[in-house]
Amino acid sequence: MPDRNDRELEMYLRKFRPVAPQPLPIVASAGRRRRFVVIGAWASALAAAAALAIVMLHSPRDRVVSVSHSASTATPARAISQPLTLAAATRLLATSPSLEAVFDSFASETGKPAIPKNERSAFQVLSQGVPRP
Amino acid sequence: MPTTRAAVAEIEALYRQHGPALLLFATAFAGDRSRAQDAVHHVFLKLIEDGTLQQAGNKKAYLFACVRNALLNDSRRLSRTVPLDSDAPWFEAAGASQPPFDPAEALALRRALLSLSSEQREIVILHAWGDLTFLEISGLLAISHNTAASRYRYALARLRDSLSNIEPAKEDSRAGSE
Repeated sequence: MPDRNDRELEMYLRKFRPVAPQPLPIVASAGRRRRFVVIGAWASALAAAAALAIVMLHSPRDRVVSVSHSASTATPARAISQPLTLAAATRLLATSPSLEAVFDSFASETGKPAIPKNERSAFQVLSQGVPRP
Repeated sequence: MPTTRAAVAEIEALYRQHGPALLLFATAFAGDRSRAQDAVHHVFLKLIEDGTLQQAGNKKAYLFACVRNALLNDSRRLSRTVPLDSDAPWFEAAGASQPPFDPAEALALRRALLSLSSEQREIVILHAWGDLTFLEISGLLAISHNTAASRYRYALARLRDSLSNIEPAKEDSRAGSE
């Protein structure tokens, strides 16, 4: 029993700690929600890493395929991006699927590069006619 | 008013800080632990929902007032008096650094508190464990400052008597068992 003094009795009373209440329901649910968010974030990160790894594993082969594909089926438009000389036109005719495709490529070509001075365009050569033996 | 994340964090901190004293106050007031627990939860959840704590000047006193009002409303709703719960402990061990906790002493204190009138009991709890000043208590209970202080003094005197009556009985029981 403490001293009779009020102050000491107060101090004696304060030695006893009241029982803590149960956690707030909202705090507990917020904790659970935070856990779900963290787990979700980790799962998303792992999925993204896995997807990236798959893309990186497959992308070099795809690139080779696409390069070889583009080389084998070069469009006429790409072929005529150079100055159109007789040699280029011959090469174009050889690689194009049809004559129409070649003419289509001519039609779609814009910003035609200038032909060097010492060369003539296929049109110029053809317009003058091919010398017969 | 929507409650911001910072406001919720503040309410949670206040709950951790004042929750035990509020629960003690509510238990002593209501006489029933589960009702007291519900009232304390109700107050804090409402504060989180409404965000009204920001408007309170003295947050600690405001919390005690809210809990008291919640219990009064609950009592009106039940419209009956609930006998004080004699089983639920009111106090617990404070930790390793504190003086050793004696459950028998805590039980004696609870009995001594229960021997007080409800007005005296709430003032003792508000001042001793709630750390409210007499001015704050007077505002909370709508009584004068002097009434609060004198009621507290009478309560301490009565508490002292109760504890001194219990103490010899405890000593007697110890002597009898030896």
